[in-house]
Amino acid sequence: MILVLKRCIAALTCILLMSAAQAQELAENLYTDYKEVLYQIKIIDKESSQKSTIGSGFLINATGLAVTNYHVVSDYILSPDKNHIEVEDISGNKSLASLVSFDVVNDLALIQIELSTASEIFLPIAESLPTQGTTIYSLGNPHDLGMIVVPGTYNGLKKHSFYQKIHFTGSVNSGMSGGPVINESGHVIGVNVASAGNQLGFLVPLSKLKALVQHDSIIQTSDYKKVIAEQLTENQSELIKQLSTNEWPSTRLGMANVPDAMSEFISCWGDSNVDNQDAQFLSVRKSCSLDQTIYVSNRIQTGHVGTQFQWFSSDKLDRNRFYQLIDQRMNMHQQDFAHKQDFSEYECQLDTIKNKHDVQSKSALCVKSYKEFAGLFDIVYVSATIDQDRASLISQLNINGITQASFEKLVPRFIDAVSWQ
Amino acid sequence: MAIVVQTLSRSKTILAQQLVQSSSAVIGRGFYSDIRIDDPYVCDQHLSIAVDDDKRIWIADKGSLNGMKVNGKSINQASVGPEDVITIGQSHFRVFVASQAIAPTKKLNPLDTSLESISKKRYFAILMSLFIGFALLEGYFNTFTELEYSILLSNVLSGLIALCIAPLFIGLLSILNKKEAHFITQFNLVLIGMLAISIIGYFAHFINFNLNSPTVISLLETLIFWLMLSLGFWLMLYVAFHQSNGKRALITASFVAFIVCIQLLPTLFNDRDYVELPPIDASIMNPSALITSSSSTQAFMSDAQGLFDSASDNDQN
Repeated sequence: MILVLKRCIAALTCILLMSAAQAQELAENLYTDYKEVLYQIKIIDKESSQKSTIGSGFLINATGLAVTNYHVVSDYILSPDKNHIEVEDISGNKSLASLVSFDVVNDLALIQIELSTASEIFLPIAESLPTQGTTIYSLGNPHDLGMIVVPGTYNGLKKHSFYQKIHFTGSVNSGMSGGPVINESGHVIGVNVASAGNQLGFLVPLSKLKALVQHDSIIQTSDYKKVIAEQLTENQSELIKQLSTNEWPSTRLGMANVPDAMSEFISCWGDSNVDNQDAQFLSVRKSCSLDQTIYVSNRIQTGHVGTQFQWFSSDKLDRNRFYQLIDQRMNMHQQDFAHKQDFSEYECQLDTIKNKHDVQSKSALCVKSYKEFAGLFDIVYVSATIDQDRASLISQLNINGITQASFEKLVPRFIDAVSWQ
Repeated sequence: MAIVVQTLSRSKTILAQQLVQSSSAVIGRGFYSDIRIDDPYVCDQHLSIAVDDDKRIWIADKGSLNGMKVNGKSINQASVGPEDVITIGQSHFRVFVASQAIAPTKKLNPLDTSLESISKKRYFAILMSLFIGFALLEGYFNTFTELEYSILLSNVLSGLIALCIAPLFIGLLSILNKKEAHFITQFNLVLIGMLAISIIGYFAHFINFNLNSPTVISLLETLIFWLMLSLGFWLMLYVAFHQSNGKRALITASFVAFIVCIQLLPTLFNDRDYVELPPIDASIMNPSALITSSSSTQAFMSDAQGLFDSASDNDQN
């Protein structure tokens, strides 16, 4: 019996080793088969003739149409007069490329490489996503070292996310951005979107890539910023529509009822100072946010939606001191790295509000506009209730890249979502 | 006929004054001179002074080694008045007849009487206690951990030391100018100013809590602060030195302009200056202090329309 078991184990180990070896072999084959279609993409600053960004890209047809990430070519898109796109194949042959179109929300861009002769091989786009658990291969050009292949596992689409992403276990480094992810038959199923130091990679999925390729229109250089604004506006309108048409679950925080995660793609965290024996007041915090932002430029990340509720109560501080504490806490803000070139300064209004549940609060609303992308705004809404004896709820809503129309849909709902128990 | 001789410093302030009950006199280093000047560059009998029938004063060099100057010009004989500065050796003086007309006597003004009344020590004690009380209260309101009275007190005391700088400095300057220091009055003025600024601060907080217009209120608060600063500094100068009104106004204006510049310069002429954070000043305080009514969510939202317009407008800057 034991002998049989031993044999079985030996056989199993053998199979496992063989499959690992097979995967290794396949990766090597893929590398030799497809290295011709991989390009290193550089954005070259015309003035200094030096590269400002580097990433990967790959051919998807014989005439030189290639896919990369929006963030790889964003320097060119935002300042087309200052930069140009240069591509380099695996043998080091350099050529120029022009921008065809892009999708800022899903971090994709299509470029046209100037080929001297039509390429014999290119990466076709897969018909459908593979089954979960299948081995897939991420190809790219990490840290300017040359092309590499990273095998990993396809783990399905990321759950509870507004932005669809493939969940890939394998390490995707920053220079691999824009490289293809292919299945075993060499068809593209996604594009690398790397953030440095990630052991878990997220990839732009097939559907977004297909949509961009099928759209088949060239964006004019003068329209780049207008198109970015349009894409951002369309995306956030959809986001706010989903957020504001949902029924918001309610949860208890201190004596208040506050909205819980406003949608399944919003995730929440919480903490409190209950364990601090010396604290003169109780502070309980619940914060929720969308798990992802949209990269627009190295100075602008947008698309953030976040809420924060902080409950304060005290039986040690007197009323004057307690509300002095609330005053101080309400005026505290997270660091903001906005730049003068990109945004106006915040314009604020302050008022005392009684919402539809008769919750009275001191509320401030601040709005700043995007200088390059007309019609988009960042908003901050902060309020502190002032109708309890020595207890107060500070609510905060931050939305980046919102239109006035969406603001008018979402914010009153947020204000009216707070009630006393 | 009496003659007045005023010995002057180089900056024309009076060092000494002598009255000679005669219509002529001799100035020199000799002990028999009518006016003796102990200056090694002055001769035994250096110059003579005489009053003529028209009550004009004539001075004449009595053949001295170093000569004499009137208003910086070398001269042997001259008729001089109360405005002329005579120099012999390294000494300066004025000579005029004692019957010279003087400026009419000023009436004590109400300001002098009120300043006199705040110079009392008991007011100082009261103001000082009030100030310490206020500072302690402010420390208490802004501490959200367990209160440590020793730390609170030491903070207040170090604040007091900082507060002493201005009255001590001005008092010392007035002693150097051979005037009375009026330390108590100076301290009382500073304390009244500080208390007034604190009270105005609390009041502004209260107004903002009710009216929700932080920009206007903080602007008003700053203007009031500058006004108080001018007034306080003017009064301190008034107490310390007997300057002319014009000079005092000039010194006060330069001092306040200097402070205003320190406050404004970092933002006023700096184009790159950009405030990233939302400038929220909710001025929340004990809700019992709320006497105005609240808006509805709808009213708040319709007010917000304007924010979008002004944010879009100012993105041109």
